[in-house]
Amino acid sequence: MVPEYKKIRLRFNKLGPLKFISHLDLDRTVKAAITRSGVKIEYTHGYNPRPHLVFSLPAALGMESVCEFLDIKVAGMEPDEVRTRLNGALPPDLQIIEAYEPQTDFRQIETSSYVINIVSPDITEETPQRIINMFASPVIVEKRTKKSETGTAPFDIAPYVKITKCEYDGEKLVMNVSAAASNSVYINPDYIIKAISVNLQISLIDPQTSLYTVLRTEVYCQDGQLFR
Amino acid sequence: MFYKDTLLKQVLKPGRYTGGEFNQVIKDVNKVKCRFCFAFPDTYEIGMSNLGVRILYGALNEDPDIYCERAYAPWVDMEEQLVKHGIPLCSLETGTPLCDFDILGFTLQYELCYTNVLYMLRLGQIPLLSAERGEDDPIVIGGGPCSYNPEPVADFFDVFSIGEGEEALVEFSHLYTDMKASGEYTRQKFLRAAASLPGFYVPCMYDVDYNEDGTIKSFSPKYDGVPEKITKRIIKDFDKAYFPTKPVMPYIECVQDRITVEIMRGCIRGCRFCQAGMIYRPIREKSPQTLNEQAKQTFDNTGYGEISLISLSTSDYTGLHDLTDKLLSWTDENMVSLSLPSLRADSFTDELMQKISSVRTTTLTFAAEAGTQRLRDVINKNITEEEVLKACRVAFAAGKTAVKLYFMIGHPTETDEDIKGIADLCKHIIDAFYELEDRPKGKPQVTISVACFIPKPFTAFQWEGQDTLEEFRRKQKLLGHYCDDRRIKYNYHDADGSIIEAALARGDRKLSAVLLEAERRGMKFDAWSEFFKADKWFSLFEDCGIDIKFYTERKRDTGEILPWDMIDCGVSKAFFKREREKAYEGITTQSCAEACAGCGANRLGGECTWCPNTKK
Ligand code: SF4
Repeated sequence: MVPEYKKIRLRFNKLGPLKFISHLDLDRTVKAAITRSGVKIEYTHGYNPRPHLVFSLPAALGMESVCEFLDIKVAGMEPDEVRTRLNGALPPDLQIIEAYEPQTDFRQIETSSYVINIVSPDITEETPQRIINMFASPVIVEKRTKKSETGTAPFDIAPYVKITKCEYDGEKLVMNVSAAASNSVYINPDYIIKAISVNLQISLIDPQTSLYTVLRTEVYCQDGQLFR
Repeated sequence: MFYKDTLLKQVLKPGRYTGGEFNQVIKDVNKVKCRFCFAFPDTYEIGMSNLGVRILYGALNEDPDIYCERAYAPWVDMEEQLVKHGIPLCSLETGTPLCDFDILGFTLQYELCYTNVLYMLRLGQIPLLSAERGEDDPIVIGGGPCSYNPEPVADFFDVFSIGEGEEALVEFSHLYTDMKASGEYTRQKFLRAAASLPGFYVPCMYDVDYNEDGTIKSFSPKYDGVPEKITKRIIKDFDKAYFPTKPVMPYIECVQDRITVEIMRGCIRGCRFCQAGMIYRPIREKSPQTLNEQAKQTFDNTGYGEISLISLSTSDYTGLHDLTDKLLSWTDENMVSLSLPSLRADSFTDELMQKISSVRTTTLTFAAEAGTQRLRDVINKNITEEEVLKACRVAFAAGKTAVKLYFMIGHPTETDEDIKGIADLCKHIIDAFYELEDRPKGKPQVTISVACFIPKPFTAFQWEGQDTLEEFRRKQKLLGHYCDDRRIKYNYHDADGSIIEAALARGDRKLSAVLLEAERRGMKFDAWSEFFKADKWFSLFEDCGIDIKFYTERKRDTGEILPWDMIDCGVSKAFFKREREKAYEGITTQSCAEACAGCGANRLGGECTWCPNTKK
């Protein structure tokens, strides 16, 4: 009897050392955990069957996230049990927050929100305002693209970035940012940080004195609704 | 994650340096008595794939008093960052600088990693020379196959663990904690005590004198109670040996992301060039029952999709069919595949072909080692041309068109006839393909990979001179000339790496000065072709006033004191001498399964499969 598979969406976080693993590494890590958990999922067909995993646009290397998505097809198990089982087999820095039968499609994702922290001796009380001013005009970065021969092309990221908070607490600069994350335009938050660093001459090189972190907090659809 | 993000964002593959992998061992550092760090002198990806390290990491961490962590050689981009910011190399588990550990253990897998040992010591902010280390510096211990001749690196190590370390290193750590607890500990007192522990060699406890010609005149213990000979340690009951069923799982892709189970130690074949076949004797096997359980537990703890059964010669394992049947009873339904490296051509059958998925999907590889029967008899590679052809026929009949063979050039007594023999054997394999009625469509391809012979300690050929660089190159060219068939794909390594390796393999203490200078010149990652520079090595030896040919090309007298004579690996020198004589006469020696050749390893005891007086 062919078991009936049901699509289940997993929202998970990716923290700590896991922020430095590539998409391929994440794929292998999750596959091994699914095997350990005993959750039976659908395999690809063909000569060399592999577990069938579909990820949404993954967090970039170096970024932490509490809002990553993965769709799997599971037979004979409710989402809640899938979540409990998988969490038992997954590393502590990669845990499933929610599991449910999805009504939406990853293609509906339009923007992502991030919390960015920046520490550098070059940051001053004026920095937040200067950042806001900077994004009121075009901010040109060398953006990676497959279309150009050199692999990058100048691109104005300002229209695709919305800064909702930008404060300096005397120690670190804290920004809440929402940026395009659709299939057609995706702004890696590293571009925002790099542009700030270059334009406002904020050095981020010395590990003793500087640091920046990015956390992806949410993902939204076109109409501004939370994506689930 | 202990290196700052800022640092990690500036290097390639930061996942090498974060630690925090699944199954890594976390302990409260305030509740343990001994902080041990296992250092692997190569990249994370290579080190994480090493079964020996997995075993020792697990065995040490089984003990509640010991906390064993890991460190690997950082890639050069990370080195640049560490040096620029004055940050020491740290362990992965707790981010502790290497210099703050009680004991730092290096595993020495190949000679060309020696420069990386010094590289890691420097980055770990530990004095390179044992003699310069103070009371607060870690005890630096070495182990692994290269420690059977530890002399070239003797100046950098406080102590070496000779033989199998699972039990020995735990004892060693306890000696350390006991002496610390009783307040007796000083570096000197501890090393003195370690020297009398079975299986430990403390280089500074011995005096070496040289003859005018550079050979060793005498080698003797400095103090009473320091043994003249250090007998290697073995695990007597291998079936009950500790096995790590919860290995640390790297997040980033490594060389071997799979379950590896060690089915036996030692090898019944006595290939006369092979060091591994000798130093792991006597031959001990694990039962199929134990292995199946260990594989299943590891699968449950990891979810890996492949099991690799490893040993020096897998097809000689007496329980192979029983084991594969047991494994297949659960692997197929769990989508786990089996792979069997190190198969001998004479054991390759239809039945194995059916069972082993790796055999079905990959190119078959056999070690023939020499091109003519005469030379194969000299090196005691007891395999006939007909057996090689038969194995290839099985492979062809099963639909394969490509096979791969390993050879070596530069064996003692080799002539140009033997070189030609390599090409002839390939041509016979091609003929065998066309003679087969049910051959697959397409053209056959025979790939040969040809290495250069390196005389190694504890082999019948330990006294031999190595071919000169010019001779190796001439033979390589000659073989290229004979391989005039497009269906033969001929690969070879440049010979100079094998010459440096040979010098280090049979070197004495004088080479420590050469390695120290190599480190000063910034040499590292010499096992990597993009870093290895032969001219640098040759000029290094020259600048240090050391004639490299003394170590490579010189044929030793069998009466000479060899640098590794203080080590007893179980197999006796008398046996090696007998084997050497037989080699010159072209007489082969039977495998242990046919008759005991009296190698002497049975003296070490243990539950051995074949040895007389110890048989199960
Ligand atoms: S003692 Fe005999 S049987 Fe045992 S390893 Fe040596 S040669 Fe083989």
